[in-house]
Amino acid sequence: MLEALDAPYLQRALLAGLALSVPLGLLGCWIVLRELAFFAHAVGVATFPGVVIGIALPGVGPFVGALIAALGFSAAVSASETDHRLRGGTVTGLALAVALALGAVLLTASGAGAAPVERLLFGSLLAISSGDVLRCLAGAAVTVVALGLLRARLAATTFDAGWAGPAGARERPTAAILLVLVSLVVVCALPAVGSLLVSALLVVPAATARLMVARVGPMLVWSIVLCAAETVAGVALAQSLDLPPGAATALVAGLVFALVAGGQAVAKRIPRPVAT
Amino acid sequence: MTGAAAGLGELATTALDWIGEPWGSGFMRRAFAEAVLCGASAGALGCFVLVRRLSFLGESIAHTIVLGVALALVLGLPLGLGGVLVAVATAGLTGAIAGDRRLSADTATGILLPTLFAAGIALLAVTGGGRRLDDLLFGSILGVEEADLVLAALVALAVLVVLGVAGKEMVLVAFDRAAARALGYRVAMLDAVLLTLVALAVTSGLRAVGSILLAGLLLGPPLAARLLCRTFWPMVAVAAAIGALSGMAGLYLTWYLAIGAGPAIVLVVATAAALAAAVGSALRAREASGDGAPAG
Amino acid sequence: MSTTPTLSASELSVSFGPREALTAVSFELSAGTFAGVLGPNGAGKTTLLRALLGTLDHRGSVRLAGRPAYVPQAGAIDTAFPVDALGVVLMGRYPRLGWRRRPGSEDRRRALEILEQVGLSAQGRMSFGALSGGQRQRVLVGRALAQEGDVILLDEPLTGVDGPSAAVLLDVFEAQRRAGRTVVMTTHDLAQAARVCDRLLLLNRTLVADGRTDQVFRPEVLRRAYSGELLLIDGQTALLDDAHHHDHDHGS
Repeated sequence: MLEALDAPYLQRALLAGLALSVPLGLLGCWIVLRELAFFAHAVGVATFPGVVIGIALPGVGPFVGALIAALGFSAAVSASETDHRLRGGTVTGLALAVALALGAVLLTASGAGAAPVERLLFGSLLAISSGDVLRCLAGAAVTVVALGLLRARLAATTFDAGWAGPAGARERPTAAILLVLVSLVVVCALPAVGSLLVSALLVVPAATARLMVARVGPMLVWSIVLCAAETVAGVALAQSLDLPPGAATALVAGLVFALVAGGQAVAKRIPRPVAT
Repeated sequence: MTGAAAGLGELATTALDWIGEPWGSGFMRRAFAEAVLCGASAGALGCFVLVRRLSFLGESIAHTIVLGVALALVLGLPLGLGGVLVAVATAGLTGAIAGDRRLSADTATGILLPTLFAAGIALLAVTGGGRRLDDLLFGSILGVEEADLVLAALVALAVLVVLGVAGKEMVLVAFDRAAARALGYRVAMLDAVLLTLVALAVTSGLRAVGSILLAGLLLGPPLAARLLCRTFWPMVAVAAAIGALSGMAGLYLTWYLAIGAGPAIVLVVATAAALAAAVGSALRAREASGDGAPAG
Repeated sequence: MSTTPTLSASELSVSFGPREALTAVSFELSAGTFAGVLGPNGAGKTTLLRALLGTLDHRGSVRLAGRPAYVPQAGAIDTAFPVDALGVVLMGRYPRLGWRRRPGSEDRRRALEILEQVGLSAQGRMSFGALSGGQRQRVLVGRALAQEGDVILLDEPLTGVDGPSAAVLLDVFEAQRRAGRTVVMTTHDLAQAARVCDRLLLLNRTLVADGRTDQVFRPEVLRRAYSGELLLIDGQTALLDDAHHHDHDHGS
């Protein structure tokens, strides 16, 4: 099986997947802790019209189109998503449905057909280009640096949105930067896992990590490790069952979460000897 | 004068022709019926989804239901049954995961939506249901058959009956769960009823706009109605009306502009919401400058 | 002892839309003061603190000499957040770390000292969510201490806190006062404030009274502050503070 790794398409796939698992794992933790899963899913979906327009316009390309759509979407819903009391509301839901409808209409108008739709929605990690890999690496680098610098503020404002303001860590700019980073990473991950399932890799490994440890530092590390492992396993599964890689990785991630959550639920029922 | 009257008459005739043309086709008549029924049901139920802040769960069910359809196809069950079972399972699992205080409802939904959806896609892929997937994702209202219409009609009827019988109680549960429980209402049962209705509406809505766009039909009309109405029951009525009318308007766009029906319907809904926002804020601005006393 | 004010307000007013929350509040506090801000619900106590910190738009002026430290009411805290007691106290050091994101050994040492000050050295590694209400409040005060502010603002720090924890916290506040800091605490508990504070400010949208306990604790003064919610019995003052007081002259 290792000889298969000689195939350049597989090398690119693994490189992209592993590069992405770092920002996906890191961001995923903050998404879980700050209850941004709905936003992350919606941003993924919202890239669709941007990709269609980007492909149709010469010189723009799907990446730039997707990025503009994602950032535009974030700006549109940022008022409701940066206030921790209003997060995850109806505005986000409607905005995402509109984005998809727009994308579908534009797709029909541009006459592109159904096959690219599947790829946009579910990814094509095994057909990823070198350009995409480079973008994954660049996006990963930007995100890692930004999250590293913001780590303390993120922890303080997530734990207590009411305190950090006067003490120097600003809640709204930090929240806004996070939305931008999510947009960037989602767009980088599109060629790999597609827009509908990218949220799986953002949310599920981080949630699994949350069940395993009780402090932010270890949670960040485990999230990256799980994300990377699940991506690799997902690629293997996609190859053997001829599934879209996005679907395969989502399934693997879900299974791992179920094992950890189920295991803990069972362990709670086992009576423990009382320590004396 | 007669020239103008004749001109007006001609305009009216042309307009009537335009409006009436699609109704000549059988499949369009069925599509109109489906759109009206699904739009009204989804619009009305969406109001409850909105006030109970269940938008993400609604979006989640709209996706995980694909797994239900896939399972139903594989096991030879009626599609509606598969849909309801998976929808209920989604809600139940979401609650179970969110029960762990380390994880929120948002996270729980964020876990189940893509994983169960992926399971549905995978199942369809390995059982050769690939063509089905397009229909499920984007809707296929122009291929609506009598069986679908029957389901849609039954769902609409169920919504009417339930809201007529238990609507007040459901509103109470939405606004003050603790009080409802204290008054002796079976809150869990009312939740289950709402959930089942949403599952049925989503299943029948799959035909109309598809899994991905369903959130638009479920959340859009209530949002527009919310901007226009101040109390709940008018909001439900307005949302149902907007849902139904958007369905019809979207189909006209499909007929005359040859764009996808599902996307067309959702775009009309979005336009309605934008108009409602404009009208609503204009109304509020007039109110604020009109009398000095604050509302209250 | 220096008498230049460390915390002062001059004609401070705050409005939320048409509603005036604070009107023309003026006072001066110097170093080494432990002030209690009293008033019924809706009097503007929290608003005052936020205006003093500069996080609210206001008219008039506010002067705060040095660094502030703040303990808000606990409403916005996510108790499921994965952090231990030591971690929360360390968060108080974050604003001073700037872009250097990691707290160093000096920060940790200081945090451990503070945990001891609030009587929680054994609980440092316990998850914040697993602590009792009183313990959590002590940790949050510890976070404020870690900020090493010259002016410490506390919003109802003792409300709902068990007796022993409250006693520890009052000792801490007194120690801060002796060290020359300015401590400002909003509270409902009139009797307690009279016991431990050396300065009382009675707030009911305006500053009704400002002075030492014996100056402020007079029936006619208290009546002005708690208008209508005061009951006089046998010439001694008994206070009935309606905990569910609602403001009726503003919408929703």
